[in-house]
Amino acid sequence: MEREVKTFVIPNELCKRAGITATWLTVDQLSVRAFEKRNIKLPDAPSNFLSDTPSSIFHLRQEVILFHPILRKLVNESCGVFIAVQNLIVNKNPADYKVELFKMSRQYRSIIRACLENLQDDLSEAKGQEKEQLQNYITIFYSVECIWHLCEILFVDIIPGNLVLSQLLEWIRFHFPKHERNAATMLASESVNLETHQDYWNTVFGSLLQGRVKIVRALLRPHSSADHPTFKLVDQVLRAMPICSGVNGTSINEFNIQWRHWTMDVQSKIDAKLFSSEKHLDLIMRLVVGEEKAWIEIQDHCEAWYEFLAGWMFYTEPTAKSFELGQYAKRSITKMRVANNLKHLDRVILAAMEFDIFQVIKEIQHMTENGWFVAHLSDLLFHSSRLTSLEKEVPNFSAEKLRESFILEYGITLMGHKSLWPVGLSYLDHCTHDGNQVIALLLPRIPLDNEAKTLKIIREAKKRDLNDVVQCICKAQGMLSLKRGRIGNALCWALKSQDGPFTSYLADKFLQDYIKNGKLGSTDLLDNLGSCMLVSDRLIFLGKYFEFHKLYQTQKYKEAANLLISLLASKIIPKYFWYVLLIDAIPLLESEELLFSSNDTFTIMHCAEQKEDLPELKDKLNILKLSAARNLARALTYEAQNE
Amino acid sequence: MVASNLGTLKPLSPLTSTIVGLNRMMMVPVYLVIEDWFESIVKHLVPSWLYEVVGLMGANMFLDTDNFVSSSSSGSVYLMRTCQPYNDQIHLKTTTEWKNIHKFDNGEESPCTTLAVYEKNDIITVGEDGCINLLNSQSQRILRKIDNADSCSIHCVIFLKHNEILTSNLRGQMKIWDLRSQNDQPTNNFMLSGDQVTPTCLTYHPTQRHLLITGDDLGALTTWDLRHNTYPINVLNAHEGAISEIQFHPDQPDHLFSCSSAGEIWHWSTKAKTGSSLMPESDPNVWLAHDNVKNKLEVFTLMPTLGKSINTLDLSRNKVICGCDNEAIYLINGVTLC
Amino acid sequence: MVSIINSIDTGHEDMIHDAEVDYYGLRLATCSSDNSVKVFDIKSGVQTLIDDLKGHFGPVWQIAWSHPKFGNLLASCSYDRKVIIWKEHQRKWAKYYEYANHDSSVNSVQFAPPEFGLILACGSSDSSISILSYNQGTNSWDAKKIQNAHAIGCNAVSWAPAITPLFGNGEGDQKPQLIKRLVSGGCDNLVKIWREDGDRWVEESKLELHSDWVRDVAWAPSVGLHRYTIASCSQDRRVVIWTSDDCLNWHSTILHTFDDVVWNVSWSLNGNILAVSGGDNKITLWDQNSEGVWQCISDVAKGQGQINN
Repeated sequence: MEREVKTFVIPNELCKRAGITATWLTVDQLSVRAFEKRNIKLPDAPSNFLSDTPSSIFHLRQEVILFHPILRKLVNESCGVFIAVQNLIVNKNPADYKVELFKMSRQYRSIIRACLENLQDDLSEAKGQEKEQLQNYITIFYSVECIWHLCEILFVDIIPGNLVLSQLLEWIRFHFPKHERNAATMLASESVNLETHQDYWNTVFGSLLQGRVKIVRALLRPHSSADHPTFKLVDQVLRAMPICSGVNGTSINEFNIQWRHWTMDVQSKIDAKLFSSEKHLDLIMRLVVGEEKAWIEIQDHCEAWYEFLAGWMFYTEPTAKSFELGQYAKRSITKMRVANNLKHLDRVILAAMEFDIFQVIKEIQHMTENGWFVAHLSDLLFHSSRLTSLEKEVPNFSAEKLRESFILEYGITLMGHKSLWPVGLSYLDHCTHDGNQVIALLLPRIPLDNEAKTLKIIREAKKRDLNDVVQCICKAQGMLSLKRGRIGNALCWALKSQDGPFTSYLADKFLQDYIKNGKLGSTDLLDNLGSCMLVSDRLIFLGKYFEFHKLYQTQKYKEAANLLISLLASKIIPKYFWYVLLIDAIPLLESEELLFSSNDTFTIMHCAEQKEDLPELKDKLNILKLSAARNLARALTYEAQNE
Repeated sequence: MVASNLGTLKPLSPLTSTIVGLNRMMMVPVYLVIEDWFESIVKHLVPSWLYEVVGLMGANMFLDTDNFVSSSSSGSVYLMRTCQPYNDQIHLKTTTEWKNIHKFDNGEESPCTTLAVYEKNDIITVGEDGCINLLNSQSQRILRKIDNADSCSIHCVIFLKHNEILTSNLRGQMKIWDLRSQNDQPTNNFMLSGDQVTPTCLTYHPTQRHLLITGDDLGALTTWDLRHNTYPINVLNAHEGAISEIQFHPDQPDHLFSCSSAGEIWHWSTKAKTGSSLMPESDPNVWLAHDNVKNKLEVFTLMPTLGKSINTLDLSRNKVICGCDNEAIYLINGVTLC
Repeated sequence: MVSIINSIDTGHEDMIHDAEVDYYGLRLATCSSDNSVKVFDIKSGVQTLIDDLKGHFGPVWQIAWSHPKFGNLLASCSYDRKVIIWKEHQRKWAKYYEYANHDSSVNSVQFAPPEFGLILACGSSDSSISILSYNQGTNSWDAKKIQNAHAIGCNAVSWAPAITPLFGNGEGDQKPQLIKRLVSGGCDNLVKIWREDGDRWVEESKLELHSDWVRDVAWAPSVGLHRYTIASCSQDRRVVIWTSDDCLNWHSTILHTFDDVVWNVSWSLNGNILAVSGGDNKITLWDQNSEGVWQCISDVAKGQGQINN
């Protein structure tokens, strides 16, 4: 796909002189700054660009108009429909959901229209730049709706007998509502000489081109010469215009015969110059019989070639099939002489009418609404099996990949917004190929503003079984708590993700803090560790040591002593903590009540011997040994007496 | 057990669906809804988008019809008044600001996670800094501050009596505090469960205040009788995802409403007693039953799920309102309460 | 439309050599020829200088942020032959570790993907690459050196994403072993792939194509595909995209031959867009179209006379 390259200029003097370089920042931001082309051999000296004006860094982002408050509503609402479409596909087979898809398409369009209404409402109060911006959005989404509507008719809707005209007229009527509005005002005015209204004939022809024959007749009636025989004749002729009633072969044939008879009849009346006294009426009659010259005359009434096309088809090819649309479209463009002047919207409409879906998708990628349109429409077309059929025509083309690439890109765009990221997730969830990996990449990068948000992000990660992501986020949040001096909370986050190493790291911090200032922090937490302490040996030790303290403080010395012994016998004591435990044993050994059995005392003595090289123990070692010896004596005596 | 859709969705604006849109001043539509339909208060009615505009994030609670308190993720708390000087425009005015009353030891701002109000004046705020503040709407001063009330962040708070509050922290530890006591220790504490589950919301029964229900991160409802607390009376595995809010109907306490991060909003009602004459009238409150609570309750979904988190709900008479992650507020009208 | 959402006055008195935002995009670090490293808060769209880090005695070439799960560490490398790792405490950064075991200017520092732990790679003009690993147990840094990685000098290093190899299929719950790899580019015109093998680093592949110094290399983040992609740029004015399924057989595609030396290449977060900065004073953005062909989507040009402020 050929794409236009767009150039943006960085307004900076230094960048201009030195040159620039760029680095990607987040998902959608690029950081640009001045760059010195430096050779390693250059001496270490101030550069040529040393100056008083400080160097700047520029963060660029493609503007995301979807983040505007009004458009956010479109984003949110369309997400609901998108999810509904995906659910529909899961549960049924294609034959069943065709009709449903059509309904969904209409829902998308009604969301766009509601959005346009909201934009209009705000436009009336807006000023200056904001007004310009809103006007720009309206233009964009007006085109989006226009193209979507046509694509819906041609690619999603199931049109009986492929007779596309009535849908086409409906499309034109919606997008050129001026004539209907004017007609309504005129008719409501109950004036008797309506032709004095400056838009009168414009409206008559406009309505005629949109196939609103009844309105044309209604407009002719309040003309001051309505009683004139020419007017009466025209009314008669129009009333007699045949209407196609059915879609099966016979009724179409029947209609064609009626139509031919009717046009021949009108033609003979024209030839008899029955209308020549009224040039407008004459033109109407010449138009309805499809006279080339008349259709050239009317061109100026048409704002767009497709308005012309619809009118022309109504009177000359009323039973055209949708696949013939392309050729008529080209013919209209030629007739209107706009072939060299086709705008983007024209090109897309033409491509759609030619059933060149590939071209349509190519073109709608560049509608500057950040991929909303192309993502949703290509998803819909994919599920309507319209894209898969292209696989045969275009080499190396995968419909599924194409759909996914648009949805992925759209989802990623939303992931960059601080409140739309859950919406972005909904889209990435429906990218079977890469969705989960992209989520794993982007989810942990959402800033952790507060814990409620962190919990929310974690829930989303858990929902998708991204356990590594969960652990990573818990750890980041834990480190944040630690930095804020909330070690208890940090531990809580470590435990939430069952992060053994991190838990041990924090438990060490607790113990080291204790060594430093003699106090165990976060006692409310340590008191309630429960089974979760099993995550790490270090935490088990911390929990047990805290329990020891508690027993000691509540003067349950016997239990405290037992716990101490079982700790000494365990293999979970951190190296740096040995001496603390041994020193803790001293007052218990010296206690009035005998707390340690001879065996317990041997354990202590054994440990003391093994650890006697510890520098921290140096000045306490003798006391310890002495206390232990004294206690041993007491214990042996006691044990002997109670043998 | 989830039965038919009871409520009818009433569009609040002439749109394709029932979404109250984002206006530039987002508080306005929220408030209009409250004013039109509600006498009671809307709390937590602030999905994340609001803070972008007014700079608010945490919880909101009305003290009376005009004044409400709002907490922010920057650790400040604001008393705000709604005034309506001209035509339809409703304006918000900050009348009192308690600036940075939650902060971490390293000087960083701490989010004020939630707040609770008692009657019209007393306000309790709690934060990720583990601190509890008692405020009064009539005073700029902090009446009482418990620093380091919890070594983990406090996520929920509720008034039990005017001098007693209950807090719960990140890992489900619940503490009861006597505000009169000068001692910075809780009078009681117990665990939500042994598994580090974070409680996400708390509520009590309107007429039996000792009956407390907690909703948690895993979607369970846990009922407590505070007369003998330490163990829950029963645990109901209810929602998919975290429970965002639970509320008893203020006038009809047989009805409970809950919403979840999975986008569910449920109406729980006590089953009509069939053949009750034969059954001995035991405890009239089914929530206090030790077993088979599920069989005594009917659950209705109030709204088809949108797949986006419902962050908050409030109710008045037969109307329920909820705020959803798709930046919309939904009003559910005509909820059957009998 | 592209718009400048933020324009940050760094206050550096000389050329900025690198500007990196942290993992969440909330903080910006910059380094300059004026020997300093600065850290800014850019959270709310307004820049606030948090700290000005002085510790180097020569131009600071490159900086790198660690993953937040290791706390927000910052690494910087300089012409003064040193690598400094900085640690934040109460919004001030202090030297946490200094590595001075290079004999010449250190040109590039990069933290490894967090899955591997806290590891830093440094490329130097003394032709070697150092790999510094933090050991939590002993609270110390352990250095390994790849000597003679690139003759004359190493200009850039970049880590491979931590992706699990395809063949380690899900028999049992055992996690497949992650393999640490990095790519480097140097003055010997080569791009080299290094793999950790036990306690050594070995040269796994040597990619020859460039005909002049390789200025920058960037290993693309891998999304989905178990496929490795590397971009390299050189003074030979070319940008080359290297792809491989197994890290052994590499396929090269010349993205484009530019009008001037290409200095930097940078992959977007999800690896779908490559930003190329060239001596032609232009930054061009490239992506792969549905047929797999690389195409230019946009470019950002230098001042060109349209100077406001």
